[in-house]
Amino acid sequence: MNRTVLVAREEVRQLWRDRRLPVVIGTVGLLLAASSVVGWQAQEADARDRDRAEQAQRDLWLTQQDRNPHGAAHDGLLAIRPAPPLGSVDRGVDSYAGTVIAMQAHGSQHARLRPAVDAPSLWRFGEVTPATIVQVVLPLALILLGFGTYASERDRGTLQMLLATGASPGSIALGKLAALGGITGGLALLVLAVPMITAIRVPGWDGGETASALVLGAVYGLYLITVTAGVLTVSALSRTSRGALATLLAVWAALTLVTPRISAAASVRAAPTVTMGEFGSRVATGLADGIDGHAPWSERAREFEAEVLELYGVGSVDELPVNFDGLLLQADEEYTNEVYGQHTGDLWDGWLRQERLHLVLAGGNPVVAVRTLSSAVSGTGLAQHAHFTAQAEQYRQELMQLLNHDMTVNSRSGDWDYRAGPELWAAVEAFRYQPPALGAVLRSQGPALGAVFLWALGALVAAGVSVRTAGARP
Amino acid sequence: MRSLLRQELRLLLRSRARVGVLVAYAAALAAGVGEGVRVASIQQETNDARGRVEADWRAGVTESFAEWERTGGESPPRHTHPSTAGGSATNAFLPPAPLAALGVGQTDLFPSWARVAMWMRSAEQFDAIELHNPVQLATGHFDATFVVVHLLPLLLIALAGGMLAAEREAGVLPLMLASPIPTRRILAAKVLAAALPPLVVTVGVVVIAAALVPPLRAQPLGLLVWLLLVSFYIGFWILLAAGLNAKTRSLGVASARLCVLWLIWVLLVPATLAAAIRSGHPAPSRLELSLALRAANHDAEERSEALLAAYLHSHPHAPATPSEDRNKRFVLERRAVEDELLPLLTGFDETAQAQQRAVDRWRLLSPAVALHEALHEAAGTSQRRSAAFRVQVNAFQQDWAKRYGGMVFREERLTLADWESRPEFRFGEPPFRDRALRAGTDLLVLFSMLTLAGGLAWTRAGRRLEP
Repeated sequence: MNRTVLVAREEVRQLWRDRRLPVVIGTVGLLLAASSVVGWQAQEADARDRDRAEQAQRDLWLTQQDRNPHGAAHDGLLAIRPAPPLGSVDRGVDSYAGTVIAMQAHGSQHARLRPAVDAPSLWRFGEVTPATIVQVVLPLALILLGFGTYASERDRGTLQMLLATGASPGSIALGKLAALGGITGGLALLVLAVPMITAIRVPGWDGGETASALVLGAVYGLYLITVTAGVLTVSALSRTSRGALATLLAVWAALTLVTPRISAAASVRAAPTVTMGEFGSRVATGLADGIDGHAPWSERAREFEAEVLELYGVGSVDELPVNFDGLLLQADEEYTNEVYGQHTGDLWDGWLRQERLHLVLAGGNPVVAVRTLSSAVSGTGLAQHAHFTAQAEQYRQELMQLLNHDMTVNSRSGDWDYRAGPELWAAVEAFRYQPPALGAVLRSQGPALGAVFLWALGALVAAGVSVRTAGARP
Repeated sequence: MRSLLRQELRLLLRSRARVGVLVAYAAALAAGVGEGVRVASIQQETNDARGRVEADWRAGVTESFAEWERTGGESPPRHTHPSTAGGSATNAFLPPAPLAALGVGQTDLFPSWARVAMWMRSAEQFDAIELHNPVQLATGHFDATFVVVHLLPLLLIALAGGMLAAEREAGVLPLMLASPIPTRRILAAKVLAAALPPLVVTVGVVVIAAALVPPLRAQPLGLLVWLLLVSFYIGFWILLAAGLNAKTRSLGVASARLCVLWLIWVLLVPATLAAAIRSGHPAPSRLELSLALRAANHDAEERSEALLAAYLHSHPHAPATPSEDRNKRFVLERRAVEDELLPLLTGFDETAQAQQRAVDRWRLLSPAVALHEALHEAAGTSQRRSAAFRVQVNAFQQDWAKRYGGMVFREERLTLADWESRPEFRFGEPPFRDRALRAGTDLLVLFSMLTLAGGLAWTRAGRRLEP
């Protein structure tokens, strides 16, 4: 039998015999079952909730009584972010970024309804999702399985014996890599396949989602190759198995627990964004020089009135063929759109900059890179929330324009008793969020993608070099 | 005993690696306090910014009132009308928690301010949120609580995880056991020597932090409780190491076993518990609440005339100037919406309470969970303080609506004195007795865990230690 296969078989047999393998499989399986059931339940409940809300909102909008369009604009509509099918694999920032945006008159609003608010305080320890299992638990399982791959052989003095049988360092390395990689691959397949099978059943699954799932699988594949090669490298370089275990555990804790938090905090300090108080002050300052649709007596409104009268060639608003209040409200909207657009845009740009810095300051930490990439591909990343916010704002501006236009052309100045009816409500199409294409997502995640590739490559090279020289060391 | 302790401490301080671990812990704890101070300052800045805007605006209105009363002008300021005075929002602020520097807790998730106005619907009162980057919220803060709950046990394992096992492996233990000193005394000296340095570092960092951060200085009792909790946690892990290692032959096995326990207690149990509690006590849908609010608003708007007619019918002697009808209708609409949504809103509060009760009950499963909850409770950054804020704001909002709503129905106008006596919200910290009771319970829970670990070490050391 091929020596590589023999080495691999012996490695697996050893792990099974000292009970490490069954314990790891059992623990990962248990966590997988728990996370799948919880994730699937949450996904189903979320999807039901959002569908019901979309329908209820549409009914409410279409059956509202005849009323002034500006009254309807004040109530507005809710932009409800659909739960992405792969959200059951990786929840990304979904629990902490709002899932709903109120689209109303006089300016955009921040997203609200954050699921973490209604979760127990222990939620802050982290969510158990298939993504967390692959990112955090599987590497730990790999460490427990693989720390002794070379180091234990060296402890027992069997590595030299193995080499003395004529097995080349390359075939030994390949055998060990195959054993560890095979176990990892099997576990990863199990962890990712189960939630993906449930995700396929979620409405909205299409060719794009299948491509995303494949990319997600590839990203995690590269990540686990990095971890496997890293474990082999440390095991090959360590003098004792104890040293290998200590080093690997320290590296694991540093990469998964410590550096992500430190770099996240450092990125916020290095590129701070505005606080709620500052945001409010800046918007208020910006709006102070603008047109207030509800204050026709203000100086800017009077200037605007003069411009409109000149345009229509009339002497007073009563002579206008349209409702001046509608024009004023639209001018107000356009001004506030600019002010809010600038500050909201700055805020999102700042957050996205912080996310990029987070990866840089973490030194390209593979855990941070894979976390960013995984949430982006799953549709639950920060950039997707920015994309949703931008689409909702676009829709809001068009909605306000439509309602103000109706008031402008169908009523006369000062006629606040004007009532629009079902035709206007039906003319408003429901908001449908269109997520970005996978290609665009991947292009925006270049640094994270590059980091994942480079880590996999670097780890493989390091493993290759270290296992080749492993036999030469005592 | 004293010479044994001195010897153990000398050995520990001679090891560069162990001193390095202690220095790393001190640096991490100091960085954690810095992060707590940063988040608390954001809360304070937002509150101050909003407070300044409101103060400027109030001064302007007061001036217009004073001017009008002084000159006896014909057209009174808009704010003499109760619907304008009551409809202009005031801010209710939640000040940063007393020991916010020691743990961010839930303060980055819940609003630190709320607008109170006559027309405000309770369902929308707490929609305003601080603008924290969601990535940071999801990643978690590197605050002092994280350092203590998550990292400190790992550092303790590095410092003392091999206690006894390392000596046994090096062949030193038989020599020690051959001495006339009782085994338990040897173990006690080792435990004390392992626990003292991290304890001293913790106290040192916290004392320096208290010297630099005034709010910390102002809470000596809270600081004492916080430090006691941390010292129990340190004691728990050291005693656990001593108990488990009493018969362990290899340093590697001893450390690995403690690492597995750390993994279970610090990562797996809390995350699984959170998911289980959330599944067991699911919160009502916020989306449903939003839509119910819209439906209730529409319904109240449609019934507006009927609501006013019913009011006038039941209050035949109330003034009934037609020009005031619009404002009266608005007040009645709000009341109708509030009545309609009360059961839904109560559902959220009940769920939060049920979840918290479940956390309190199940925290015994993990010392990390018990400490996490206790430290946030001691720091004042737990969910409970935010919940207390919501309750107090709701009560203030009801009083506000009643005060100005009453004036609308009585068709009264505000004077300068009325305007100047406009109510202001002041957050009342939970009573000392409640806090003391909770702190006592938390200390008891941690102390019980410490005692269990101590019992394990005592029992195993009592049976003759294997050389």
